[in-house]
Amino acid sequence: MFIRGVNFNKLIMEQYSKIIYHKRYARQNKMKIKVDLKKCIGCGVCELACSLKYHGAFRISMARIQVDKGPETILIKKTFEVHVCNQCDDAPCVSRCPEGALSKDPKSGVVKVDENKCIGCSLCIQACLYNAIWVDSTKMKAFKCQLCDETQPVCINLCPRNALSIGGIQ
Amino acid sequence: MYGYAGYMLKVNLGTGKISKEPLNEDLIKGYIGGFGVSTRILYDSLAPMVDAYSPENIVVFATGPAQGTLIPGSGRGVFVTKSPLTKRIFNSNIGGYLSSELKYAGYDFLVITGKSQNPVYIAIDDGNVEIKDASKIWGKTTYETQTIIKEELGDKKFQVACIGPGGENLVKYSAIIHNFHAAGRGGIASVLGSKNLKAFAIRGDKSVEVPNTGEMINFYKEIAEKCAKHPSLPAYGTTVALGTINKMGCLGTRNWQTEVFEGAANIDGYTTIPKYKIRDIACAGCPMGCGKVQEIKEGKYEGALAKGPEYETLYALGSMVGVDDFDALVSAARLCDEYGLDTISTGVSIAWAMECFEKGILTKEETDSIDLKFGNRDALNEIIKRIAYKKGFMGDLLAKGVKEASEIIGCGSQYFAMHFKGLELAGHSPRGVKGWTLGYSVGWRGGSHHDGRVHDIDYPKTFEERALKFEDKPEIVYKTVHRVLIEESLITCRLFGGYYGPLEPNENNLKILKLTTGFNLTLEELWKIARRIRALIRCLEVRDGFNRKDDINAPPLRILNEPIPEGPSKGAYTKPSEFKFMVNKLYELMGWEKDTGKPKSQVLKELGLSEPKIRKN
Amino acid sequence: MTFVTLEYTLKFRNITNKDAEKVTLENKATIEQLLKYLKDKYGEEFEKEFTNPSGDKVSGTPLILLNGRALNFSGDLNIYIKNGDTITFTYAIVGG
Repeated sequence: MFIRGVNFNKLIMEQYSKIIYHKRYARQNKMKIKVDLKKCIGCGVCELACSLKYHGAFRISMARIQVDKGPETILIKKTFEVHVCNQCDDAPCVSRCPEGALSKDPKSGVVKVDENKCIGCSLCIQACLYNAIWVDSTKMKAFKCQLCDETQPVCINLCPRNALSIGGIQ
Repeated sequence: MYGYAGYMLKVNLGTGKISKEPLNEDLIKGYIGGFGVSTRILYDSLAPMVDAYSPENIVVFATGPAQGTLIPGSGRGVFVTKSPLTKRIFNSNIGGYLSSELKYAGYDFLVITGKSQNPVYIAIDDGNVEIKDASKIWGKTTYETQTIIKEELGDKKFQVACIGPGGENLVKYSAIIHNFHAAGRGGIASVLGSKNLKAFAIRGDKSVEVPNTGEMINFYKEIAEKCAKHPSLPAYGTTVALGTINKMGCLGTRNWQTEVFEGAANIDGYTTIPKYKIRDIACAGCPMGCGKVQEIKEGKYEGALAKGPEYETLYALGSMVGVDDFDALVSAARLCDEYGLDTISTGVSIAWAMECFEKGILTKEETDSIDLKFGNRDALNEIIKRIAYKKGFMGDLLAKGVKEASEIIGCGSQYFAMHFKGLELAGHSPRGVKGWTLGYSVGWRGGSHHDGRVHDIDYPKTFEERALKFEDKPEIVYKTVHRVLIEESLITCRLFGGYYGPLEPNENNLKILKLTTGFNLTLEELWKIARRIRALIRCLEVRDGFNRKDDINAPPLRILNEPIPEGPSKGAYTKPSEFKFMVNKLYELMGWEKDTGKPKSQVLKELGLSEPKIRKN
Repeated sequence: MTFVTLEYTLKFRNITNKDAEKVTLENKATIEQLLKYLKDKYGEEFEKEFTNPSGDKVSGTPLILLNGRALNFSGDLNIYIKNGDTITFTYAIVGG
């Protein structure tokens, strides 16, 4: 079904599979960036802050938190979409990675990329249902949110509407 | 290079030639970026007297050093071209994510020339630029177009700007739409339409660098804190301005026949936001989040969803046409977005037609049987559609803009054709706030509320100071117009006029320039750049045959003859003698020749500009 | 006796918890006296709006309208209020 050129069926299927996945794999008690979509205004300050932290420059394509900026998201879903790693317990990206480059830190629960092992094959991207891991095509290395600063990640620090917070309990 | 991407992208739609040129350092030292640099590009590359719809006309989409950074209010970009409405240089500003994405793609300016044989769109995919076939999307509305292009290019990260049927059909005040934002004024969309350019899509992977990231973050935090405390913008956007301006008795109502609207409370943001707002939205990197998405959930106009309507739209499609039905207003605003029409010019044109109809100057035959009385909210949507497609006598007439329409209809209707220099008047009263009469008249865009932005200074003043006093207006306009030019070149959002303004070029502008580029200018040097830009704009006007006559004849006669009839600003208007004084004094401050309005030779010399060659017609 | 209508918008509405109210003042009351009355009634928060807002003087500047006409509230406030007057407490206009 197309509404104004948007594949509505595709959107519904994506949402449905996300819900199934979330119920099966995701847990609530762990460290991750939590997004309150009701507060998100789509400014992308989080992307700017993140890219500044990791690259010393404004390069939002390299940000480890990515915002879908519409207009479709607003017209259909009435909200922005924010993609940031859910730090899943049984992370499919970890199990999919053929090089063992992804692993979950036993203490913090944060899923980290070992750049020495990563070959940039992109299988993790296919596995992730949150669309929250990407590959830097110049370095051929995967990158994702690794909670840059465990007390106050820069995105949380600069978000103008307090839409971001550290989710879950330790 | 800090701040800038370092390159200009040139696309010739006629030859298909695409070229990438390094940014000329002298250009940015002399004009900063954005509108300033674009003025220079037009002066050097566009011959005088070129018709707006000629393939020779050039459209620049410009960014400044602030775009793509964390400078609050930097989510803006500017289109510059020769307008079909004012027939001279025109800049139209747009929000959203378009300008920052151009920087990430590696370009500061996109310069479009020529005319394509067939409908096309430009795809800028980081380093790879292509001209693609747009025959399948020609005719489609603006939201549809953006979605289809992103699907075709296979990446939702593309930021798309497009024209709708309005631009395709060469409506003289058609708007370019990107997401929910519009480059509304001046009909630049129709210039793109005349080139068969449906859209352009941008995506980039590159970075924008600044000299001191720590200082940049501190500046962002400082301003973001102020934004959080702003009394109206974060919660209401500009929508509450309607109620306050009405309370002051200077809200343009029923084609400026009066300035008090009895229905204002129904469309004021104070009433509508709690009821209809579903989301706040922001432009790139902006902590203010002044965009309000409102949705009508029931009734005749159920499903109508629009960003805004902002203050200007509430004025144009509300008080100006006498409509206080908010549902109808949102629906009309949404239609303007879908078709790609400037809400201000659309509303003012319809209001003019309504006054003609009520006075019997337009007959029912000419209005295609529509009962074109003020307050006819059901007629709004129908007329907007006709304008977008130039359908019927009325649609075709109004699509020309109110200046030309009133010249065609005549019978004294020019008296109340509310435009300055061809551009329909924005929602700020030239009678209630006298400085506006001067700002609109001498500004290069005419009826734009940006060219002499007395706003931030004069609105809070007492009635005597804002509406009766005239001697101080030239200096205020002189200062604000130069500050606006700096803002249009950096580029920062006008809604930050309170923080980065409010009067003349100042330390905040210098700070933003330094934070983004590392350039350490003095205030004197900044002023000189602003004056250079203004003088060059004036030279462009002179070359196109405009002079003092166009300034001195700019105000609609209603402004110079009719005092505001009622309300708190009753009695205010601009006397012709006051107007003459203000224009002459402003010319003096600007350094323009009294008789012609051309910048004086010694001023041009001081600013490093050559004499504009005036072509006799 | 002077009967006046007070209108509150935006932050003033939050402080007073009202959209509008009618108050009775003594004869020959001035704006200055009205402000004092309101500062006493609504306390520090109300008072704070009228102390010098540092920095951003224009964006966020309170605006008091007397029958639609702005008062220069940092100037002379010995303006007499008449019976039936409306005084609006709002903020500087940002729009356009």
